[in-house]
Amino acid sequence: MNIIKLLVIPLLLFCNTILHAEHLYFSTGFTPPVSDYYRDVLNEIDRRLEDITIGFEVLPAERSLALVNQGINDGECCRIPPVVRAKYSNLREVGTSFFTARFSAFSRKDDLPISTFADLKPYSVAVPKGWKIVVNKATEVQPRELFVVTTPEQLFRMLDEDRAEVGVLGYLSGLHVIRQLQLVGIKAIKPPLVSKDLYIMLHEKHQSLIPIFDGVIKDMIEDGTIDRIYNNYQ
Amino acid sequence: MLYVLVFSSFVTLILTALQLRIDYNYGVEDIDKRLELIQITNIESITESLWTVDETLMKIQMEGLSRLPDVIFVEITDESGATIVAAGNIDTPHTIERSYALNKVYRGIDTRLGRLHIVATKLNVYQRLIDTVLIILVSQAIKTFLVSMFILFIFNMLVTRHLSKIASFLESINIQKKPDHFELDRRIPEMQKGDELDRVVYSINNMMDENHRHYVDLRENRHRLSESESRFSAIFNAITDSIAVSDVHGNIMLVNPAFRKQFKYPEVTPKTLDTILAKHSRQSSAMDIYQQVINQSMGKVYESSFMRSDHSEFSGEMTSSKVIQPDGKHIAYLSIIRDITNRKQNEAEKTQLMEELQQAQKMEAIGLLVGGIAHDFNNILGSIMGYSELASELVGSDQALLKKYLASVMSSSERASGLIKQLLAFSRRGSSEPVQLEVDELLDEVTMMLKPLLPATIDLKLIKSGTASICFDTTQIQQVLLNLCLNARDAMQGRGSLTITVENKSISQNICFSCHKKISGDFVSIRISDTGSGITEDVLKNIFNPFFTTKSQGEGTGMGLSVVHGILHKHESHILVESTIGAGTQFELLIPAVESTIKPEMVRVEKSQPEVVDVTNRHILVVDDESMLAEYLQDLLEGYDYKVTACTDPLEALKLFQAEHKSIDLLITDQTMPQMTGIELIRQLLIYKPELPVILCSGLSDVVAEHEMEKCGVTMYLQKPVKAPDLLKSIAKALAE
Repeated sequence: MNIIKLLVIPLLLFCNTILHAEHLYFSTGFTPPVSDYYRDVLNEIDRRLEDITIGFEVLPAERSLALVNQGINDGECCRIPPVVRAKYSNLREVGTSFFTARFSAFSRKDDLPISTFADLKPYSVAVPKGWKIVVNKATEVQPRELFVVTTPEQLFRMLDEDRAEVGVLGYLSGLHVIRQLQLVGIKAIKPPLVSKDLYIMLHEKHQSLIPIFDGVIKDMIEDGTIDRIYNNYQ
Repeated sequence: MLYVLVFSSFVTLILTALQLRIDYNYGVEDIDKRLELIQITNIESITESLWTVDETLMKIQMEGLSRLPDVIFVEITDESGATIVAAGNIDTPHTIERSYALNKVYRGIDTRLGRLHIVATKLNVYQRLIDTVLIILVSQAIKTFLVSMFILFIFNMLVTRHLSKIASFLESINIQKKPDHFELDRRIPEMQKGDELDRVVYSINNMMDENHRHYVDLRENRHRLSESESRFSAIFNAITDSIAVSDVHGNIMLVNPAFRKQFKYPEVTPKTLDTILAKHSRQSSAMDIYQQVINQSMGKVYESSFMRSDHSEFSGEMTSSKVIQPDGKHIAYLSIIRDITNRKQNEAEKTQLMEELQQAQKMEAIGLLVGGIAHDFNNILGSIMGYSELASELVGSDQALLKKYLASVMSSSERASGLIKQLLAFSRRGSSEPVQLEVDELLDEVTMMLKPLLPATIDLKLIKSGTASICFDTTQIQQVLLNLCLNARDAMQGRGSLTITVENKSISQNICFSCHKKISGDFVSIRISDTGSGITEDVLKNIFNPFFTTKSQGEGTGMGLSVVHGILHKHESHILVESTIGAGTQFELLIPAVESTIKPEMVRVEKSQPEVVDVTNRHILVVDDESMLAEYLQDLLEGYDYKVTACTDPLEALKLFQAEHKSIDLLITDQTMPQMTGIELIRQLLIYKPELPVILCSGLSDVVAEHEMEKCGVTMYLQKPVKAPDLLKSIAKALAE
């Protein structure tokens, strides 16, 4: 009898926890390493919030937003709120950002005086297809030569082959491709061309969870957890 | 030819339309299959492109699809319907559109990503159809023309020329002539004989024979029908009853001439029978009357008043019947109307005649009855009176009381005899002695006789006008006139005017008031008119009946007018009576006028006292079926010393006479006997003894004519009851002759 009680009671408590836990599914349009960074942060949030479990998936950028906007997925990680809300009106941002997106110019040449997109004009520039902001800004500038390549890897190979002087990509993504391709001599030019804080976007049905997420992110910033995770991808 | 072309063209058009329809369906099916193929082969890749939001790829895919045959527009829309990528243009109204959902199962959920719209045009299909139509029409037109010409040629060779000959032959047919045998100009193998044209020719020849035969029959039938119609029309027009044929609604369709004449519609025809039925004589419409008459039976008639066109009416009877066709359809009513005005008048006259006949028969029957009774009673009286006389002769002078009684018996018997004479006069069997009389003189005598009998308060007038003579028994005409005048006196109750008017009168037709027979001819009219109280109608009907009287008991016998009736009709005269209550009564005697003198019919028996003759050895045979009378006569005559043999059976008398006729000197016989009449007996006896004297006695019920008596050898005739002196005198006279 005592043995049965010992088995049943923990089982009931577990089931109670399961039944009361809210499962949230997040997606992101970013590719590794940013997406890996997001997964780690969200796993930490999952760990810290007892009543919430979090799933995560990498999707095409627009599809990721659309699925959250439709309510199929629960959250998108992470976006610039004014940009996405114009098209996806069902999204609500968590107030605290744990990631700043940076578009940086990469080059084999040292000390190129490039700090804005306008500074790209005299160069031969390669931009990756699918990175809309980058492609649009570069097109506006009308550099001396513009290559819209299919993949970031293609972009860096062109830099490495000196077929392009400057390549524009996300800072972490660029570093990630350089490491993957084990390229030497290509560096990110500082400061980045653009820096923007990104925020978790929840479907409006989860509006009540925004303060909870906000609080736990702040806690993770304050206790250095965010920095610790981020540094894993520098 | 034209019909072949038209028909071929029509068939071509129909088949072309059918083929176009099939081609159209095939074209549309091709487009459908192509669109389905797009769904099968492209949807998955397009969905994947849409999932990854790869607009470039999607654009490439759309461009590729838009270049497919018949596809003019493709478009990918998101879940809200907004266009993501599109290619091509929609510039034609004839399109086929498809829309496919672009869904992806994501996390177990069928997620709708957007839709693929494809628009295909049917213009290419139409263009292909137009091309097909042109080809088909041109080729079919040429083919139809050539085939038609060929068919026309073949058809003309095989059929049309023969049909033309058949048509020419048929057009030349005169049905009134026996047709010639018809043949076609064909040379065909023996095996092909008996084809349709041969059958047509065979049928035409048969038909012509049949038609000619039918024509002959028809002509004969028409002739017979015409004769029948003429006969029917003649019969219909000759029928004297009015005939009207009306339709089932009562509208008159046909009338015969008798109808027009009877109802005075010489030209127009009355619309309905309601028009000719007198409205006051019916309570229902002509249709109802039809139904009533028809429903009862065919023999039932409807009697009513009918109205002519001039609104005059007549009595008629109508019989109606339904006119039914052989198929049972009721098509008309036949009404026969007969004018029964004359028949009704005849029936009224017949009724009157029947009444008069009954009255005459009644008077005749009473006369026979009275006559028969009088005859028998007369015989009885004869014996009573005879024996009374015999008894009186035997009564001594000391028996005065008995003699008085016998005298009373005689007196009563004579009164009874008088009454019997009156009865016989009524029954016209009494004896009479008609003589030619001057009526004026006769009336002078009568008025002289009347005056003492009338009180002074009654004014007696005699109006004469030089009338003709009559032949009448003087006593009886006096009796008639006195009877009537005394009745008039009694009717006036002592005050009034009694007028006797005599004149010659010619009567064309009238009815005798007493015998109710028609009378006509030249008469002497003697009218006895009084101003008395008149006679009521009930009384007037019975005044000539015997013993009918309105007088008190003892004041009259009721035989007065009966005697008048009998006497007048015995002299072939008649009487008319008119009476008005409170004004008076008039009796008019109508006596046939005569110009020549008429001999009296009867032989008078001279009346004289009994004469005693020598009767020794005189043998008298007495024959009378009344045994009492026979015995009385035997007693009477034997009392006068006659030898008498009395027989009640004439046959027995005949046998006796045959045996003893030599000893029999005289025969006294009654006329009326059951086995044999007196006349017949006389004839038989005179055969054996022609010189035998014969005295014939009759009870006046069966008077024998004088000439017949003379012819039969009757010496003398005596009327019963015969008084003894008269008989003895007659016997003596007969024996003396």
